[in-house]
Amino acid sequence: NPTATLTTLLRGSTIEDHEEVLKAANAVLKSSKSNPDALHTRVVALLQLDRFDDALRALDDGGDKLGEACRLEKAYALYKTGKLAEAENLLQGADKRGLKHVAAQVAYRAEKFEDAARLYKELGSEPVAIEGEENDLRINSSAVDAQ
Amino acid sequence: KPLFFDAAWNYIEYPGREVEK
Ligand SMILES: [K+]
Repeated sequence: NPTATLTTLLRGSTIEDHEEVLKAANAVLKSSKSNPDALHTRVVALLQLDRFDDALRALDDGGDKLGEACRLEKAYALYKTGKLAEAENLLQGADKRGLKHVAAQVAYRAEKFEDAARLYKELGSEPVAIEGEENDLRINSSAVDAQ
Repeated sequence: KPLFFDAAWNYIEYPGREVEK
C-alpha cells in the first residue's frame, strides 16, 4: 500500500533518505496523480536532493492548487535557481516567517539591502520559531548592515 | 564577503512536519 508506506515514512522521527521519500511519493502518484500530500512531498524531496529545477517542474505540473500549498517551496526553488524577480513576485505580502526569510534572502542577493534590512527587523521583532534562528537573524542582519 | 546563512532552509519541511502552518 503506497499511501501507507509514505505516511509511515513521513511520521518517522527523522527523515534522512530523501530518495526513498521521493520514490514513495511517486508510487502514490502512480495511482493517485493529484494526491496533494504526495505532490507536496515530491517537491520537498526534490529540494532536499538539491534538484531545484526538477522541483520547479514538479510545481508547474501540479497546477495552481499545489503552487498555493507550496508557496514557500516554490519561492525557495526560485531563489536557489537565481530567478529573483519571480521569487520577489511570489513573495509579495509574505506574512509567514519562512516566507519572510526567503524574501530577505532574495532581497540580499538582489542587493536590495533596505528591503532585506526591513524584513530582518520585522523577523527580529516577532517570536522565533526554530532553534538557532536568533543566531541566523543576527548573522544575516549584520551582513545586510555591512553593505 | 560577510557570513550569510540560509535561514529559510530550516522552514522547508515535509507535509505534516511543517515548522509553521
Ligand atoms: K529543512
